[in-house]
Amino acid sequence: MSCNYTFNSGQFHNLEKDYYSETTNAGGGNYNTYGDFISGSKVDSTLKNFEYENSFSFTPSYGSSVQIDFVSEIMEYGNGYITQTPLGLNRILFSMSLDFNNRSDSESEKIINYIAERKGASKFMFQPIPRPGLSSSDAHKSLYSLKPYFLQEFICENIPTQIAYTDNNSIKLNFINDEMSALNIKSILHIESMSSAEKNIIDEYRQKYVLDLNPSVSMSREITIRNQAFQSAQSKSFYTTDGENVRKENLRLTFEKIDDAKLLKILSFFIFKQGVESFKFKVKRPDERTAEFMCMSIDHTYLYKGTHTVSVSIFEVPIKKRFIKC
Amino acid sequence: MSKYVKYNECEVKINEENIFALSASLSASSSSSANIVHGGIIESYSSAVESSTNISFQYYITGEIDNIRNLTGDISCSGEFGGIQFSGAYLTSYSVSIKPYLPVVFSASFNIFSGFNDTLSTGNFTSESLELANGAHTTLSNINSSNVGMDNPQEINYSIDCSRVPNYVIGQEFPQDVRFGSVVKNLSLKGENIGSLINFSGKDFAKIEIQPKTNNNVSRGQVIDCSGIINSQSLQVSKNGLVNGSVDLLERVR
Repeated sequence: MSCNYTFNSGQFHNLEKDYYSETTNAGGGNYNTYGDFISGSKVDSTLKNFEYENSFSFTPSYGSSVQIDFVSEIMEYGNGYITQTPLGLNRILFSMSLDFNNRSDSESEKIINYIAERKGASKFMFQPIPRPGLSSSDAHKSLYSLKPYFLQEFICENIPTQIAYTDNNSIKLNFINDEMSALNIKSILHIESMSSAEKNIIDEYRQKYVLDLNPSVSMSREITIRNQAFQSAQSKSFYTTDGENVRKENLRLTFEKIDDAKLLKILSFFIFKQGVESFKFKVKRPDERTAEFMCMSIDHTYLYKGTHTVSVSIFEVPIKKRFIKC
Repeated sequence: MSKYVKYNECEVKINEENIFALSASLSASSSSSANIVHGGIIESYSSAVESSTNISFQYYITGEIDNIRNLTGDISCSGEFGGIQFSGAYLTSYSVSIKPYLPVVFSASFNIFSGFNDTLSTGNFTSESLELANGAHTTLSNINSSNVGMDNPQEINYSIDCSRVPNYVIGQEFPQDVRFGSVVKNLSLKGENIGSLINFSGKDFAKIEIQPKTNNNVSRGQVIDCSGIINSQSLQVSKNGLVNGSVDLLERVR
């Protein structure tokens, strides 16, 4: 396997990939080049044919998880006001912690060899379901790494392996993608050829301002009070209030054992806000109150077929910040 | 509509072979629990883990080969129980109970990993002649006082336990495959007139073979064998009684 790191003259991106062969994908009805594929597959209402070269096709076990972090620099000013400055362009970090439990020696060797051959540097496509053989209505499934994420290009640096018994091994892989930005964030969950019902959910919840999806009853709630203090070795401490916005809450919301539809709603709600848009959430008793929050990280765990758990860390912000008029 | 089915005979089939079962049970559980959301409302019920289904039955052997015994390896089977059909079943426990002048009873338990249909129907076990193994006609090898400390066992219990580890992958209700784990044989002999106490150290080795037979000296099922260590023994005595005892053997096959 070779990697071509030379700049593709005349284009901002190098639109040639080791895993996308123009020879394999030649002919009508196919995305003939990687350039055609990467643009067309997102916007075509009917997905054309395509085939990767040697994709990672092993399906992970339940218990695997996905983490999405929005990288920002948070600056806090007097009176509790803050600004979120996006750090860099590709500031959406997407990673998958994948468990391959109870695998045979044969499958384990294939997984280990596949990752080892890429030496922690070559990107590969994680595609459990190949496009050939799928009907037009199911074609979009070939673009999932794990449903509902249309994100397939990853690197992997380590291969921790546990030998449980004869012919029974468990491998844990951490797949990383740092290619996502505000420019392409929509394509994490949305492509044009997916079902209308799912697109409608995404469109509805990505624009919502009020979080109307109930998290589980168990919740971590940290209330901090900001004040001013003067402390000296020669005297007792002096405390006074610090103007406005003295109270701030950090919450860890968990949506336990949710189904596929609620998962898509939650992800649509939080991902498209990118950690820079705020939303309104009503915290119930004790001390019921409605406040403005932002979300900086999302954890999604696959529990069982159609059952997931999502945890989000949110923190209170003093002022509303919205890109979408509502 | 509810359907009530009465069974005069207990019909069980494994790999298309009728089994003369005494009793059978099938159980399935989903581990579902309530999802309680912020504010205390019960929003739904769901399970966070895979569902489990198992079937177990006691049976008599009516031929010289017990095909269920052959399922202790890395092999699955299909079957039918009262019209409920299942597949992707793996034997997890196989046992034999031998008592004098009583029919030898065999038991088997399976984990079902590929689901089942739920249509009940009636059926019956038919056979031209049923000649069962009798505990009093069991052929014993190497059971003597010098080997295991008793000459005439009153009760023999034998079991093979097979560990099965399913490999569930994301998006699937049933496992992609099932890993074959440990296989352990246990043989327990109970008897009286114990000669001498065995020098039990956990390292004493014994090899025992048992062949259940009918009153007419015809074999029923394969030879039951266990060659392993004596891992426990016990002695009991009461007033005016003989010393009773038991010896347990353990063989780790895999």
